[in-house]
Amino acid sequence: MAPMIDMVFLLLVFFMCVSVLAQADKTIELALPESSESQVADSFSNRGKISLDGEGKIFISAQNLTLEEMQNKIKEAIKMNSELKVQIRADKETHYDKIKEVLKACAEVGAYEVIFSTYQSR
Amino acid sequence: MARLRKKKQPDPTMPLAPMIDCVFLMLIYFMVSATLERQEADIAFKLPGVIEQDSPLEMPDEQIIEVYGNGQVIINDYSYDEPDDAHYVELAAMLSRFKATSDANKVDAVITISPMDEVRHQVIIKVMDACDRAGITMVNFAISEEAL
Repeated sequence: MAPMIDMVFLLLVFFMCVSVLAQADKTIELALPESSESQVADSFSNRGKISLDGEGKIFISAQNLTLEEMQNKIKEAIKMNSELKVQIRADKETHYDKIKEVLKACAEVGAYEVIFSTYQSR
Repeated sequence: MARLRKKKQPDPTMPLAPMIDCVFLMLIYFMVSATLERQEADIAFKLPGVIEQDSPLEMPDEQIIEVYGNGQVIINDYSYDEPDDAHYVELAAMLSRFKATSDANKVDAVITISPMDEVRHQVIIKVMDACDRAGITMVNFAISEEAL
């Protein structure tokens, strides 16, 4: 009995830690667009995540920001890490004018590498 | 005189069964909540920047894809696919021919996507999927003059 309880406790601790770590990197929940050609990345380092909800509101982590605030954050991040890639998590219903503003703001501060997040549909 | 008999105390034991039930419930909860999230995948591209040019520039072969608010895709005034199609098959076939021509001419094939403001993000991803299926990796986005 005792070894089984040990194992169950270890598993419990593992899943609790995973859950806490997932919370730390929390982003807002979105219905991302489906894509048949997208690839799951091998490495998630050097990324700055920007989320756009269906109405075009901008979020970094779970914090709602204006376009200027977002641009300042990206500017600071790119100063510290010139390899930074901007990952845009936009809802599938987000209109292009909102995405265009974010793309333009990123290009203005020198963040040229952009990634669109999607769900794989195949 | 009768001897006082010391009442025998039962051995102290910890009730394990309710604790195991509780721990199992917690384990199942954390396992389920850890696997519910759907994995996200990437479509990457580069925004146009400013670079200094020392050597003569070889002009790439460029096509502009116009995307209308309803999802209609137009290249050189010719419409491809139905807006509601799950995949833009005709567009991908046309882009494959364009890529083959550019390869034959030994120039880069560049696509500029020019969507209207009200185009939904899902439609843009479908256009990018078509480019990827055709093997075109150089994709740009057009920004209208008034936005600058």
